[in-house]
Amino acid sequence: MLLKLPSFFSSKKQPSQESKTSDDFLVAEINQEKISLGFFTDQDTKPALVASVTEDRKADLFVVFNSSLGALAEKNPNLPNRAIIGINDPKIETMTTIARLNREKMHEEMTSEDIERVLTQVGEDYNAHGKQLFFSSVTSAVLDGVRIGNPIGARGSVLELGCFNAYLEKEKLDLYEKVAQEAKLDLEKIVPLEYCIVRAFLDSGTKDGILLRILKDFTTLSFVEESNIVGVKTFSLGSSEPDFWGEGLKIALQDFSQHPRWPTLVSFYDTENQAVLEKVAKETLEKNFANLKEVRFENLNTRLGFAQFEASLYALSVEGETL
Amino acid sequence: MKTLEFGIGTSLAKILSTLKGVEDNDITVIIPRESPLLENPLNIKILEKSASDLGKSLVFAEGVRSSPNVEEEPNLEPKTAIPSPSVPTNSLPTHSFEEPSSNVTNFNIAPSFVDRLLRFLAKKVRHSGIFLIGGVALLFLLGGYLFLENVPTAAINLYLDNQELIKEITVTGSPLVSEPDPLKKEIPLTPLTATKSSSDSAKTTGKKTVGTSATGTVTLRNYNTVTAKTFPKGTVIKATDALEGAKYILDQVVTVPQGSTSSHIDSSGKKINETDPGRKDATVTSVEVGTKYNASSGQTFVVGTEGFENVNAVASAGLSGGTSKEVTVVSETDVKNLTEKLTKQLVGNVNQEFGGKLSQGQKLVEGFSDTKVLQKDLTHQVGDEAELFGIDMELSVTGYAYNSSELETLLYIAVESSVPEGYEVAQGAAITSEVLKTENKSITLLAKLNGYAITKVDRENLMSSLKGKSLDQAENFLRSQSNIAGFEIILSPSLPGFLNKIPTNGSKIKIEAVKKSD
Repeated sequence: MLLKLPSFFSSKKQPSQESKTSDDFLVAEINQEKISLGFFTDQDTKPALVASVTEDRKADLFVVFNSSLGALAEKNPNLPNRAIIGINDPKIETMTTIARLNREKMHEEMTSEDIERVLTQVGEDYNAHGKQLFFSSVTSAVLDGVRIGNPIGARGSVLELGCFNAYLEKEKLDLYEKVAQEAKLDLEKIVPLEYCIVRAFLDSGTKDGILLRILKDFTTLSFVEESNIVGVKTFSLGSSEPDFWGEGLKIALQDFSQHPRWPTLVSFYDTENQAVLEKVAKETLEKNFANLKEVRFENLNTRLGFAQFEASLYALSVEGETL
Repeated sequence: MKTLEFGIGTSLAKILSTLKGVEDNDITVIIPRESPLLENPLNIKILEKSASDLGKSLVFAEGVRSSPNVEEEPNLEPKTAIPSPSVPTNSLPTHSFEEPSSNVTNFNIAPSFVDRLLRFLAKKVRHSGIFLIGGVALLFLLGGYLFLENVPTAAINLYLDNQELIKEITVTGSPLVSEPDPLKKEIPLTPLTATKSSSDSAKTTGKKTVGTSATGTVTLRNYNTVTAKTFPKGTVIKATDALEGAKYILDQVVTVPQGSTSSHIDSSGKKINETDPGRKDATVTSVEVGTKYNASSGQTFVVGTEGFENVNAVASAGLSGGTSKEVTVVSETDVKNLTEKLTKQLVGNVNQEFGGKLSQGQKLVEGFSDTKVLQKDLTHQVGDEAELFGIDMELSVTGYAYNSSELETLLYIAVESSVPEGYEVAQGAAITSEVLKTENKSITLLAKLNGYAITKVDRENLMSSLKGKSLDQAENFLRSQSNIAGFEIILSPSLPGFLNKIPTNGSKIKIEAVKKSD
């Protein structure tokens, strides 16, 4: 189960102080084909979706974003300024590292500063080929061999933290910031979308799976094992060409072929035409991957009770709880 | 070698499709450097592997042209100026981060068939006023007929004599039953199974004392002057005096020689016999740990079952090394509590999942499920020293659902015997059910019907008699029926004069039998 930690664990971007006046916030999902926006209000238990829109990216990013924002404002004119942008970009580089912390003062309680120090160290140690770290989060914590929910306040001698980091070129990050700036939004965080989806997946009680989001011409695959994101792959084939898509799936999964333990659950989300793709996936997996046995398929949207494009918005909204 | 040049917006699927159709085995692929495909190395890998599967060899070259005029279709003709094949496939160019924008296409839609038909009719109308008037009249009549046939409705409420009807039955639900049995009052339960896993951790609460035993050397003394005494390893020796009750064991076999006797005459002339015991040193270890088992020099001990005066032992240099401390350990209660918590959580998750799987009319039996632990891993075992421990558990849960319509059917059959002659159960009876008890493989449900028996009315005959009748005729007919205590006819919409009548279309007549109000 991924941890719900204070905001500074979840993003390098600090929230603006001016935007703290309301608990409402906007969530924007920008992927290769669509922009979806959701207006959430932060209730006691979890954020509630007030209104949402989705629009194809048939024009310039700025144009479509502003048009979507306008459409959302028509549904509810009292839009908040605070925003989280979730991105799905093939150039995002992600890395999950297990950081081991040998604590000399094992009888003292673990503090948020300890955790932050580990995250920063891990994030900066990785050579991301010139890309900038824009998101880090603790994905698992094991204290003296025991998996724990939240390490803060715990005592022990050896702490192992699963640290998820995401990197992207500065120019691209600037681009998303500029999108928010031009729309007069206070950008609180830029979040890798697949991380949030995986978190929603894990929070639902499953800890291993191959998650697939298939757009018309793009596919994103997340390989999740023991509650950790082993890897995220994106390729430019989608539901418009199911036969070729199977080839892409095969090659994307081959990078994990040396992995000893494969999930048996394939979970589709925000995917149209799943029945056809499921058949292709089944044939591809059975033919090419002997270590993947008795594979099961599901629709994550259905299981979590979300409409077609809302799984991503809800998943992103969880980030709003820590604003 | 074939050279294929693709446009900036050519999709990966299109390139793969083209590669499939090319007969040459050596192909040079030119993709503009601004193509979004090149942003992702996995796309190139897909191209390479797919080509390799087709027995083709690919060489990538950077596209030099990025004009939007580049044709989307690849140029299949061989080029004379082929870029250097030495460009490595993985040295992709660096790209600027302009967002890819698709071309927006404006479609010119041709006039539709409907447009053309309307224009034709308008032209005809302009040329014939008579045609227009006749057409309008015909349309008016046709419209009127369609309106009268399809729009007006009649709601006829019949007030009937009634008797209150309350019936309770207990029904057994079981997965071993295949279909409802009205005689045995049994209904089938449908099993729903799901597997879930989860892990959790908890603080430990068990306590245990750990430490080291006291050890040292004692001298065993044998006062028997005839025989030596042998004590096996593990013989218990007990402390006397201040440490009374503290137990130690011999670390090895010890044979203590017999003692010796000597005599002498004291100053008063008496003969005194003195016994000098046989002596043998041996190492001992306290049975339990703790500082309280450390002994000072001179401490004496009873050896085994021997009387103190026959054989005893003394620690001439004392015993030391005993230490103890209390530590927190995993207790059986800790494991039990965390297992119960996890089980409850997993069963709750599964029940929530079952809720989404139920078909219409199915009801999940709350609190009735079989659970089977498929896997349970503990990070620490009971008794292990730890502040925290965790359990990773996989559970198979089988829940059960029944079909509420089957339960209602049994209830209606049971209630029939309580309905008086000439009466029937009125629609809209309140039916409730609750689980009374759950047993191994079966449940007992209490189903309750709370409604009314009303006088029987043949609705089909009534409807055919009323079809097309005027309001007065319909009222007179209903008044003549002895089994109808009262009635109400609501015609909608309210039409003038002769048009105000019961529709001839049976689907527009709704007859409701309601109990007569008291």
